[in-house]
Amino acid sequence: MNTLKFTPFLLVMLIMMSCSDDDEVAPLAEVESTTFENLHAPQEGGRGEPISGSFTKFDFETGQITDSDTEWDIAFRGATIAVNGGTETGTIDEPARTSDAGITIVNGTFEDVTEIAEDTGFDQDSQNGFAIPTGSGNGWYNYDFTTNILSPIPGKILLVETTNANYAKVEILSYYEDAPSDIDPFQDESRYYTFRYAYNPNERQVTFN
Amino acid sequence: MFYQDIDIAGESEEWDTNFTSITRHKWSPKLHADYEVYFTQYKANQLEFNPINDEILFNSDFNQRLFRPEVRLTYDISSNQEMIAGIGSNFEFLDRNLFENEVSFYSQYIYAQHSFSPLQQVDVILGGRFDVHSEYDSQFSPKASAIYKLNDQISIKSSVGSGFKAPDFRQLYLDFTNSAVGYTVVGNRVEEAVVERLQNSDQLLSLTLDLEDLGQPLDAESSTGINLGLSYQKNKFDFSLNAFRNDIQNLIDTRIIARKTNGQNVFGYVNRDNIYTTGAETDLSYTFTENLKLSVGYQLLYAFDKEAEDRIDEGDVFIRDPETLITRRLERSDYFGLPNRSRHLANFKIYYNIPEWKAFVNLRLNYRSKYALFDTNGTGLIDNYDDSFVDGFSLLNLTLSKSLFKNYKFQLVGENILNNEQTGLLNLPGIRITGKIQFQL
Repeated sequence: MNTLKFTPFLLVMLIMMSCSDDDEVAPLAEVESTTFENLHAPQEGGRGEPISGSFTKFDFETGQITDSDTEWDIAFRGATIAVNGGTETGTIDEPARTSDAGITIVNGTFEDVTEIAEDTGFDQDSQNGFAIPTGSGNGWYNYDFTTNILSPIPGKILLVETTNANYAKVEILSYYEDAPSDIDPFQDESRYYTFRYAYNPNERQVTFN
Repeated sequence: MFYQDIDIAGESEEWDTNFTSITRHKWSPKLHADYEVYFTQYKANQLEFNPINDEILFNSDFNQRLFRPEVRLTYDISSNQEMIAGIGSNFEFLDRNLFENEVSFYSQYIYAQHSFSPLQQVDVILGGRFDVHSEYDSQFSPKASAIYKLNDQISIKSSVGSGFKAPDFRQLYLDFTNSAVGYTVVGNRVEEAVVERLQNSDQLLSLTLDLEDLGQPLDAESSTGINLGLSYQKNKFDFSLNAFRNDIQNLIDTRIIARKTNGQNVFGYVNRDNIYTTGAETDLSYTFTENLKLSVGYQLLYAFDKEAEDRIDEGDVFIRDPETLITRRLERSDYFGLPNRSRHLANFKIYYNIPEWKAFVNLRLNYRSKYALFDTNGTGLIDNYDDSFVDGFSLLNLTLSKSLFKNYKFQLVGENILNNEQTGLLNLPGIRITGKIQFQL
């Protein structure tokens, strides 16, 4: 009878030890916070012609532009932003959506967003249009037709649920090459995104601290 | 004649005519009636033509007439008590050759006021007015004021009251370009049409607001105001100080709707929903002799939109620092206030009369501190990060007047005689000289 009582005790010990082992093997990775400069997002057409040209794809996991057809999170062409989730919108040359990523805009400063709130609803691209609406004042930018300057709307933060089910927050700082403080729309090249972002590489971790 | 552009030449003329007649009828030693008839006409004609072949491009006649009969009864209750009551009607007509039909407004009003002295040093006036308008809502506007005479030199004045102002025809239908300076004023209901016309003739550099914001219906303005003032008068010295606070719903205000290629602006009218103005004004004058008088005035003004303040308090207004590109919340201290309002206004006047020449000279120096023209950074309000600020400036104006024969008066008015040319957003018109002849019956 003594041996029978002893066995469950040993088992419990083993399980507990293996748990603590796992923790040491994969500690939480730190939130990556950085600024990406001059992401070039050219487009062709426009001014009455249909807009075309491939999107410039960005992957938060590597923090780099990518040519991968599947391992990308968001993509840029001109002032349009696509997300790798949902379905094609129907525009020419857009990438196939291969994942279940989502994106949304919240109001606040970059610092305000310390975590993804529980009730955050992420949108995906669809036949009805892009998850981030296009057009001045509708999404992330204003276009001032008196000065011909496109500027990111202050206080608009993009939240992204990535293809790996991780979270990122993004603030677009400039649409012009080298992010000039005083933009000359006839001198400075446009369609160059400078944005800062924070990315939590731990799956389903919602905080940005 | 003034050439605005090599392609378009223009002429414009404005006339103002006023006529008032008052007939007094004494019913009894205590009761009399005044029958008043007031007529005013404002005409503005504008002609634009091609200077090469004299082809008429645009011809506009604006003819606004107002006819106002009023009956007023005054009853002297006692030596320090008086009742006044009146009833009147405004008949307003507008003829414009660009409209098919004449436009007309009718409004009626009735008012009464009671003035009395509850104490020997205190005068009180209580009154009210009711306005009925054919186009806008009716409104009752009460008013109360009191003056307390501390002694022969000092008196304290205070008043509370409300007011009502319906848009007039100019604010609704005017389409006028001043040919001497080159700016354009557009009534609310013709904004879209005028902007289109100016665009088609390449007179516009840019719009300052979205096309769909043009021509939003204009409402009547209503306000409540509180004043508290002090005046001091002794011998040749006159001083007054007044603090005010006005809360205005649907303030009818001018706004810039477009910039023109000639460096001037196109002005339109807009309602500002929920605004307040508060501040103080002071005047000081000294009469050296009967023929030489000097005066200085100053006004401090804060004019804010309450809804803009609420948006700031709720943390809904963001700005991007132009240097670091980092976004932060706009604070109350960044909010400058309503467009076209200077925090400080000051004036200095000298009046010099030369009786042996039957002439006088009037020199006026006006200063206004910096102000902003419109929002440039998408916050929907004027903040310190906007690019449309006009620096503070002064203008010196001079009037020379001489009476001739029995009934004639000749006047020469020089505006901006130091030829202050503001650079940047505001193009001041430079020296302007106007001549006037007045004939009195």
